[in-house]
Amino acid sequence: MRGNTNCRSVADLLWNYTAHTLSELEVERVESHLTTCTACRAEVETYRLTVDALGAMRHDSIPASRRGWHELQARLSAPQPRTSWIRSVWNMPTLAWSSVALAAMVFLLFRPVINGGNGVNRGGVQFDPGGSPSAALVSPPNSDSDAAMSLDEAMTQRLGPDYEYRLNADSGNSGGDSNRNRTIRQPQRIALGGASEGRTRYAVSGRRNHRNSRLNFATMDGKAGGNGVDGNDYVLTPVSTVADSENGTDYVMGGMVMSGRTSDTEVARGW
Amino acid sequence: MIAARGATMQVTEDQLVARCRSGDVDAFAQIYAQYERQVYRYAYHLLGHRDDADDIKQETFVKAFQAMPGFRSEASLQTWLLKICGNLCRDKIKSWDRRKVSYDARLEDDSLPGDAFAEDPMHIVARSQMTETVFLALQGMPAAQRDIILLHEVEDLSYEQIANVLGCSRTSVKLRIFRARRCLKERVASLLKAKGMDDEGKY
Repeated sequence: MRGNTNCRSVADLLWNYTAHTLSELEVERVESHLTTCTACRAEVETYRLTVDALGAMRHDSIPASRRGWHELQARLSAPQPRTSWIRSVWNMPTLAWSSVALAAMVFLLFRPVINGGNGVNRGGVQFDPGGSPSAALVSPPNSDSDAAMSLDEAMTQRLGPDYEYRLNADSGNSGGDSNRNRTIRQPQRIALGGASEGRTRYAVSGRRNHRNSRLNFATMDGKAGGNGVDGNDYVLTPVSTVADSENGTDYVMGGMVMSGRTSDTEVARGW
Repeated sequence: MIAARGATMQVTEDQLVARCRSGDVDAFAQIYAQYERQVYRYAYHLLGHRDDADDIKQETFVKAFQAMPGFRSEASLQTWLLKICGNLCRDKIKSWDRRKVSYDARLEDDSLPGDAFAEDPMHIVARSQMTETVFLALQGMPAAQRDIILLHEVEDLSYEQIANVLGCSRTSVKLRIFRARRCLKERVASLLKAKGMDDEGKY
């Protein structure tokens, strides 16, 4: 074997060398080269740091997931969302397609005068205005039923009876630019807080699937404000329970467990 | 011994899968408990972003639950779940690419003004600088290369398993890992250079 192996011939082995997955023979080859080549020693060092860091990523603390089993369970137990009509039509068997074609022809031939009617559905994140609390209830983590108090009660006490708040955390389908009108899947954060000039501001952050833009704030009285709001009116309604806990109050909204305070300073976290 | 343990686990998983097929959510809870962490970690490293990883994790399990009747028992649940998760992540990345949303913009997008939910500083401190550097280097790589590095080096999947997850041949997996490693190393080296750190590992 040549004593002076060149850099090119060992370059492909360096990762595996640092990961200790080379054969003995190959290790010898690499090491004999490393004794004579500073550039490759530096390379090995970079590889070593990289391989170690990747190994650490396997065990390292990454930010904890904030969405747990309870939320998923609520989604799995909830009735399946209706399939979009486009998909239903697409999946129809040929016979059904023919019927649709026939129906369309009949319609076109004998088309009655149709009233315009404003059927435009504005895109973006939608919240049900008002309405009675619904959605799956999930037990809060610190379920202390005696101390439990509905968010509704809590907010009514705090804000007076004039406010309605309903968060429609309806589930939608994933991805796809065509779904402009669906509700956001799950708002990812909800901050209760910041009473300013007599109004409590709810910060809701979610992603509109079609544009990845965000809704940041909706005020309690249904007027949008803050960044990124598209001019729709939002009204938030609690869908479930509240339990006092050491750090404030735990809320469960639409299957999301949040704990926080309804104090002036925020905040919902930890679901 | 290991084989025997594997067989027992297989039986258990098969049983769980069978129960899930009949809509047993409790059985699915066990599958969730077993793989939730890995799916989340994979999505997190692939997308570089907690909220998105959270979304994708939930979506993965919703899809898995719905698709359970079509799950073939000869495949492994782990690779099947990672495959679902990977596909969802790739869709997400494609939509970012289409709209030319940069990684930095996504991070910014994640923070509300005065955000109490921004990444917990403790996590940042806990992660070593070097891990952070490699994490950043990964985020700067083409998604397909990042994907394969994560599957092999972080999720510790074999070539065979990766081929299943990505739906390609084993040979292609080997070649792609090789290229991705080189690309990652180049990026790490240039980040280290940019940070003015020496390569002696004194961090």
